Amino acid sequence: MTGIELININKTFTGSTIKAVENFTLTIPQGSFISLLGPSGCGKTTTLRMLTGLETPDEGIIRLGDKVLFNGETKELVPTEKRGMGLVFQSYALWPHMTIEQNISFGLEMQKVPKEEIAGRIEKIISLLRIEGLEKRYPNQLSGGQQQRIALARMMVLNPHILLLDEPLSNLDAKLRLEMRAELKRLHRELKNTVIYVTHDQMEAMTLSTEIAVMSRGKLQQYAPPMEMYKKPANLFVADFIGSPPMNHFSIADGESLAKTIMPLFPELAEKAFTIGLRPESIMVNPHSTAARENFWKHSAQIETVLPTGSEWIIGLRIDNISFFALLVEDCDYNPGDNVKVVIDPKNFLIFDKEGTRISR
Amino acid sequence: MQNINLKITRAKNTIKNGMNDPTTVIMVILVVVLAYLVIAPIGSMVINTFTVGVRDSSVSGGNVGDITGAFYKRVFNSRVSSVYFYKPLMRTLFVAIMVSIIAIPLGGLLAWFMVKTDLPGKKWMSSLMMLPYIMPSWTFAVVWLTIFKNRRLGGSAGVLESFGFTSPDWLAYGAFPIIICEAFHLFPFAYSLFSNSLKSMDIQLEESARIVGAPRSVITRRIILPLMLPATLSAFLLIFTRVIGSFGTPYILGTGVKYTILPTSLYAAFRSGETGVTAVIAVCMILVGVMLISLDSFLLKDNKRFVTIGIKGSIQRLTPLGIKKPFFVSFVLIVLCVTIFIPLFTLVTSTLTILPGVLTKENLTLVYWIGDTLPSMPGQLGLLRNPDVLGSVVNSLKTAVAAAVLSGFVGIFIGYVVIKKSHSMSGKFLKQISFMPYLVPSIAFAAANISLFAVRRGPVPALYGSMMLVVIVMAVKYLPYASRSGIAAMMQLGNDPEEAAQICGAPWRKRITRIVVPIMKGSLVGGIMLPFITAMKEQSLVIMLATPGTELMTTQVLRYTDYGYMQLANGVVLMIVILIIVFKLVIEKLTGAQATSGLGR
Ligand SMILES: Nc1ncnc2c1ncn2[C@@H]1O[C@H](COP(=O)(O)OP(=O)(O)OP(=O)(O)O)[C@@H](O)[C@H]1O
Ligand SMILES: [Mg+2]
Repeated sequence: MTGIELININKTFTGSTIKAVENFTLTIPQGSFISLLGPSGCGKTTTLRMLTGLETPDEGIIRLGDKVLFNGETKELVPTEKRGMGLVFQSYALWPHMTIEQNISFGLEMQKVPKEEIAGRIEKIISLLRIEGLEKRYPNQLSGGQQQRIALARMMVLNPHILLLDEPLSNLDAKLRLEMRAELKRLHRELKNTVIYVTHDQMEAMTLSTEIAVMSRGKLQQYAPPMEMYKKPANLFVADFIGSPPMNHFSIADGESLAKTIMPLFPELAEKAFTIGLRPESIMVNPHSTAARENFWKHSAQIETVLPTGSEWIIGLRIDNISFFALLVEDCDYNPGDNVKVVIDPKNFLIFDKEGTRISR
Repeated sequence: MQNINLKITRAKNTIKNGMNDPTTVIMVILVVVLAYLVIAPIGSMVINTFTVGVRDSSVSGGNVGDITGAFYKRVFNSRVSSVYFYKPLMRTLFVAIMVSIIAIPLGGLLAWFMVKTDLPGKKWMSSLMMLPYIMPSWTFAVVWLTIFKNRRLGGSAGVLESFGFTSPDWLAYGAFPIIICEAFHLFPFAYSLFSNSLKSMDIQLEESARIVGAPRSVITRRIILPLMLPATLSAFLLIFTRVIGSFGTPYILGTGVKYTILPTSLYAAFRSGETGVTAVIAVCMILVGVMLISLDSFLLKDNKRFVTIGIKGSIQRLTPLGIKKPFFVSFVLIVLCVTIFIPLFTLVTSTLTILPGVLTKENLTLVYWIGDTLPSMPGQLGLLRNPDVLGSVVNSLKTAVAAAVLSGFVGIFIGYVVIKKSHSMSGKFLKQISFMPYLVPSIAFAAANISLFAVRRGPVPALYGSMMLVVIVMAVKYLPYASRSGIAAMMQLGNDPEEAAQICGAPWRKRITRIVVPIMKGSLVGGIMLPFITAMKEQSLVIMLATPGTELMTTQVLRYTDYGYMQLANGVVLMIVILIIVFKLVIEKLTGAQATSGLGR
């Protein structure tokens, strides 16, 4: 099969003045697992709907391999029912007048799959998603989590080459969610289809995807594999959005004296630098002498808060009047008010210009 | 050159995409058809107000098709203006005000009893209270005539007369009985407005007043009554629109003494062949109707300041009636008795007695149901053998079913298109236009349709006098109910279920037949049921459309009251009520749905 290409897509809803999706360009290789990540209202669902044809872009081109699904110039348009994509709705959209079994078999009937085969495929998907025993019930007799899995089953039973999932796990409890995540990942490895996964849970995106596309206000902010996204955020928005606890950052104007101790490490950026960012886990507090290298940046600091989370410690620090959070994994027994030494590897400083674009390497 | 090629491709693809999604096609068809059926009649009638028609030239002079101001002059400024227009207008206003003065306090009081007090037997009382909705609005008029009729009109005697009392004209005909009968019909309507309003009032408003120490009487006077003010205004305006729209009662009780109000005046003009004058009166009625309903929705909007929706499931604190309870119970019972039991009892007994109302054994008879010569009704057969009656039953059922099914399905499709195209201009237009018939008083709408369909226009044949026209006019007039229920249902459903089917590869036809229609079944039943009941009782809309070949039960009643054949009229009314109740029960049994919920407006 073939990859998907979105080129310069724009969409403004009738009656609205803001662009729901703006100059959106994305290439999705076949077989990848892409997450669309972004805050509520940033255009994730709209992007998915344009991919499926439920919504028509104002301009741009959508291609599946060398087949054109949409072309804003010539107004070519392949209708939804002929695109053969699967979409799991944010609202599930189960058919209330059909039993679970009928819900799942409807798509197979539409594709004219022979009767004998339908039964087998339903059985398989039911055991795969662990929804046995619900076949004869109606959607309103199921819990939210069960409905969500039926919605998944209804699409997955069709074996679509491209499966679009709109926050499919948002209604499950934490444990089931973890299990379903693993299940999705396994299914993806097995079926080798292309999955586009919408979420605003960054953990989910980080753990599941081969690539993440972060959106904000209809615009693509960055498209990269998860670790690269984390280590080399394209801009302040992405840096802020990904990571928990979030990245520390301060503008050079606010922390002038502190910036003066850092910026000499980056002479070539002195002109453009505007904001300095630092991931919580790259702050070392009173490190062993072996960990702290010669060229590392060192400063004194004062402990403000100590928040144990169970596996880690989130330490609130004040370094020269600027507040930071550090994330420590080893046990520690600091108390608020303690004076400590912080050490940072210079390559962990993230430096952004006035527009918020990252300029450090 | 390339540019042109691109344009051609674009145009081709745009058309292809449009054909792929029949929603657009359906929308275009609906918009065109409804525009023709809703706007064109009114337009044609407006044209009739200033052009000389075939039958008009005696009034206006000039040739057919000439433009003239004669009809406006005749209605507004001539010898006959007061007969045609000013008197009926003032009387309409007078009747509406008097009806409001009776119906609003009565409805409000009963609503207060039912919602706010510990009156026993509330449940069955409040369901009985909805019964007048099922009975035709003019039932009371027929009953009134049956009881109070005197020798002024021919035909059989009134009940009182058989007991030796001849009622004076003012009691038998004209303003007084019209007001009473309209009020009896409309107070449940005020009742339902008030009880909804009381039920939705936030109990905390009352409780906070109680906490600051206000006694119950002060709470009622200072909190509850002011909050009821919007409902009161609304009730008045809607009662006014009902009075303007109702034909039967003023016709039955007013014609004999020439007490005309606007709808009957329009009918009189129509009967005397004055097309232009009819059109002018109809346009005036439409303007008044539009004004009243716009005023009501304006007030409704303004009421947002009064939003008092309580917490879900908040429990009403019931005022104990204490020792006065028996007094209040008998009050409610008397109201129910006068407005429900006495009328029904009168209807039934009058068809079973020779001297009306005299319940002695030798006076009982089945002759009015199965006889072949009826006392003082030359040439008539008993109801169940009377070809006129049986023919009208068949016609009524046929037209009501056809109109109801038609408007029910069109309503669903309007809901479907409006929700799918909610952002397009045409979608909004469709929504507006499907509500428009609601603004137009029935009899004026009928007049408008007659003016449009009287002659062949392009491909549309002259339909006047055909059953088809009756069905079309009814279906369009009831479309607001059906499309409101269709839009509400589609709104609740949303687009997702259909889109999910689309994703699964279902083509449009399959999506409609397997997803949309089955899911909408419940609201479809409501969208058919309500128009059916209304159609069975309809008189204002059909009185001018009915011709000897298309007589309906309701128009048959009027023929009989014209002749004074009260027993036959009553028998037909009973048959209507029975048919409606049977139909309602059957449908409710079959679908398990409360088909008449939302009957209020
Ligand atoms: N049918 C519509 N008409 C008008 N505006 C719309 C419509 N659908 C979405 N929008 C607007 O487009 C923008 C993007 O919406 P979208 O549903 O794509 O957000 P989302 O990223 O999926 O958000 P969420 O995480 O809350 O689901 C929002 O500003 C939304 O208000
Ligand atoms: Mg969304």
